[in-house]
Amino acid sequence: MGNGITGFDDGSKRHRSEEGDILRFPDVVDNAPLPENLQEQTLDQIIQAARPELFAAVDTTGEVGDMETQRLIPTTSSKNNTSDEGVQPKSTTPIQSHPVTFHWRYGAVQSVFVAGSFNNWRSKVPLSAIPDAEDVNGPTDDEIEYASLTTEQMETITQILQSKSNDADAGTNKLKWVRHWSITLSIPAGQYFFKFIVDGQWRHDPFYLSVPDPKGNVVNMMLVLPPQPESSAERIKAEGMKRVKADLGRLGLNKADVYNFPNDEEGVNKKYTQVIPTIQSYRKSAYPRMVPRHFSQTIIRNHWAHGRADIMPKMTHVLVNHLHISTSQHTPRRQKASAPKMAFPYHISILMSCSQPFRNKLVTLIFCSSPEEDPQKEERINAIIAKLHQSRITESAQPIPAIVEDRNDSLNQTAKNG
Amino acid sequence: MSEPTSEQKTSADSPQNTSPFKDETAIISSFLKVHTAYDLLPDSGKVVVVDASLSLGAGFQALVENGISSAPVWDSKRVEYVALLTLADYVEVFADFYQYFTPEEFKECLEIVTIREWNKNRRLRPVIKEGSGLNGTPVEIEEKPALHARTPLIFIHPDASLLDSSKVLLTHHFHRGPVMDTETNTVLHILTHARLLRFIVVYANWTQDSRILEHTLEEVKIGNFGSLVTVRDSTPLHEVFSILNKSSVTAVPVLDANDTVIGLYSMSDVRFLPLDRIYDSMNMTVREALENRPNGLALHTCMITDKLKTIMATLARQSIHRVMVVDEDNHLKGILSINDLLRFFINTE
Repeated sequence: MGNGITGFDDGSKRHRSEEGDILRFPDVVDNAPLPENLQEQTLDQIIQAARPELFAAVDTTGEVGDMETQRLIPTTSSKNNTSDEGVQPKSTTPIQSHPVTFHWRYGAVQSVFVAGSFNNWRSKVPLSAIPDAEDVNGPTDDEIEYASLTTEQMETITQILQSKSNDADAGTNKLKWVRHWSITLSIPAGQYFFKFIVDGQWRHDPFYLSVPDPKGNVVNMMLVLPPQPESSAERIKAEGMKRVKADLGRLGLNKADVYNFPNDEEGVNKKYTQVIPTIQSYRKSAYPRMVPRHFSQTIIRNHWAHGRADIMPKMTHVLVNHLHISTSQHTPRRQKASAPKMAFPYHISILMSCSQPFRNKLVTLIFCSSPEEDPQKEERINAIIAKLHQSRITESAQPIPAIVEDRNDSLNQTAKNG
Repeated sequence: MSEPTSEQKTSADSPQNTSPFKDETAIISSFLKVHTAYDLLPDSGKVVVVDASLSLGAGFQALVENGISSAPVWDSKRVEYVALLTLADYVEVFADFYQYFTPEEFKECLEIVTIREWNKNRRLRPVIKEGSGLNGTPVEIEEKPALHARTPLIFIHPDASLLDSSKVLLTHHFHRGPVMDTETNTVLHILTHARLLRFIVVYANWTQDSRILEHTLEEVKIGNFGSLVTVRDSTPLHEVFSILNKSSVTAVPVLDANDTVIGLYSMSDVRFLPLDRIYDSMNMTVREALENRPNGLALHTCMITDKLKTIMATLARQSIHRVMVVDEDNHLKGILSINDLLRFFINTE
């Protein structure tokens, strides 16, 4: 039985109206006299009594979201706060409230109030009259029927309207019939029940959703929802920024250190400029750009199966067209457990790899290289080769034909057979 | 630098025009004609390229580490791909160096001599092929043109048909060749006989006209059944290498004292030598070398009465290049390789 506010499960506390609230609802049926224990209060007092944490939320500058909440709470509410020093905010997380407009459109003469579960039915909030030129004509027939005005009420209204003719006798507190009354309150998201008090009588708005309470009284129900973001793109961007901040926080870095654009103090590219940044302005950041998480695991050295060594797993397009360079001697490889441990004594110092598309397929090239050889080694190599030739000549019975010289290779000095 | 093969060409009494199976093999050759080398490229493939200034030992390590049989060699001085470094080259390297150098020099050679220098100074290999057909008639011997170190790199264009690519490989007696895109001068893939065979096997499985595969080996008369190069299981490894080097076969069956087959040692098995003790490991017998492989003394044989499709399935599933034809007592009769099969399907000389 949902009198409690269903609320949202993000951990922030919501005002929870207990079951007892409705039971404490003044035992009224429609058209019963107005009970006296409802006091009229100023807007501030009402809201503060009900939701002291709202006042706290006003003062904190925490992240409330991108949306501007329209608050009727004046900034001078801090004076109320100081008088209530004993009041502690119920939650440390700021509460997201949304503006809700209560509109009574069926006219009233004296006053219109609204009371509801958002202030625990403890007090009534006055609505402001919005005079209209049409008001002089009184309620239309539809409105009379819609608002279920009784004959008595109609008489009163007619009297008031008639009394307009006596303008000269009109005092400052001449009653007028005004059709529209409204007030906008800032209410946290959730489900609420409310009812209007129009000219001293409990009235519900027949146009909106109305539900019976346990005692059979009809009350209106409303659901306050946070506004949906303008577009999913904004939502995605917000999510992305959250993750970036989490990554930075994990590494102990500041956003300004890493995302440092020139001409930019706070690290957020706030303005455009025609000044071409110098290389110095990019060197301001102490840390290199963070590598995207897709590259945290290189798949270049992947497990191979016999005969399938030229197959790579299918890669996402983001991994393509990036050059990987590894200068470590020995990258740990996953080997089959049954394979004997192999030693790799030779030094391939540079490994470069790049995946590129070729028409509709992907080709990954892994290039093994080492730095330039020194001339001493070259002499030694030549000596070895010479010895090899000699041995071959003495060994073989047939003369070895001369090695053909390459026309293109001008460096081929040692290919000549002795 | 690419490995030459010496597979026996098919017997002389089935020249191209009068092959009795020409109609049946036409379906496979037309299938190869339709598809291009690009179709055989894996969706996401990998090629390991080796710098010409790497030492021979480092090149061998690169091949072994990555589990590959061959790598294109890039020469930054000539700014082009110059050759394809394969495991067969290393059989030659090890055999030569073992023969002529002391153990210390051997080790030094592997550490210092660059691929570039070695490639320039390779021995020219005269190739003599002997053999006979199944029914014992002597066969014309074709002497392969000698390879020398400066042939331009033989490559396959990605848009070439598979038929042309196979012909390129068969003409030069290569088991593998690089698929290269000439516009960007990049190597895309190493096309091998094994991959071609797998392609044909998969196609033949769902084609309706697979009469050709229902024939037995006996009927089709392919393979080398003449004088085969074999070794005893007690032969030391360096001698096996030198035999492989000189006779230009790419694998030798290993027989025990009773002439029964116990295994086949191929040139690509050189990858299982321990990298830090190559010289010493060449002193062990070929039986030990066979047992040191991860799959041990795995023996893949077939009978002459087996159908072509079972033989091809064996070749494809076990990722082997040749299978030994034996009789009931496991005595060696002949060898059938993918080379023979491809020649048969394409009806080339």
